Amino acid sequence: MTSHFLLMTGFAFLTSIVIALVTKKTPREQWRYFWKFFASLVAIALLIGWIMYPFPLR
Amino acid sequence: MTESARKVEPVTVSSNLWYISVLCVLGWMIPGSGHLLLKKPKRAVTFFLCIMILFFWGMNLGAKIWHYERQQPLTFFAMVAQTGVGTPYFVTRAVGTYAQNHSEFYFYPFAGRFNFGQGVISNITFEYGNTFTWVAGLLNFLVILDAFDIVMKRKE
Repeated sequence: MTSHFLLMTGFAFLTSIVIALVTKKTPREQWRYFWKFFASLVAIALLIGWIMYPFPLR
Repeated sequence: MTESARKVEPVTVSSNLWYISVLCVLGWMIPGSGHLLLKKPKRAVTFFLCIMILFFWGMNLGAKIWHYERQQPLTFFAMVAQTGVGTPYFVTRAVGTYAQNHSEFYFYPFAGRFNFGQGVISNITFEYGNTFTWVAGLLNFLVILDAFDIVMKRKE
């Protein structure tokens, strides 16, 4: 699999699970934090990608 | 007991030192096993699966198995990050080294995916692989700290 978006989403998904479990105590807090963290990672990556879009590769 | 009184409750570290050491070392060697010792099987399995998937997915993407090179001191940090996953790092490193000279070895195709530890630099996913394996190791350090906090009664 070489889709950058899917790789990034998979990475964000797995990382968010661990971070949510480590940082929050109750399942409800963990669940909410997981979605917040996951969405933030994906959204920020897309935003940075969008900002970098006009820059030439070389 | 008030909240402030609970915070300053002393923890008998010296009596538990052996247990804490075993917990942390085991937690480092097998991700999530520290939580298993603390009778938190759901968390243990989740940590184990997430870290293992991240690490082996990274290796499959063509990551390099990092070790310290004196000419490039920053490789030390890459090595420390990867060794964070514990046993899988050493097993993968051994498999890569062994498979290089034994093409009949069962894990030869897997070792070939990461060029027997050298990493596939020409792969478009090379840097992804490195990031996956580094983060897997660093997350395991966080998991060990979480187990440590639980045993020190700072967390449930």
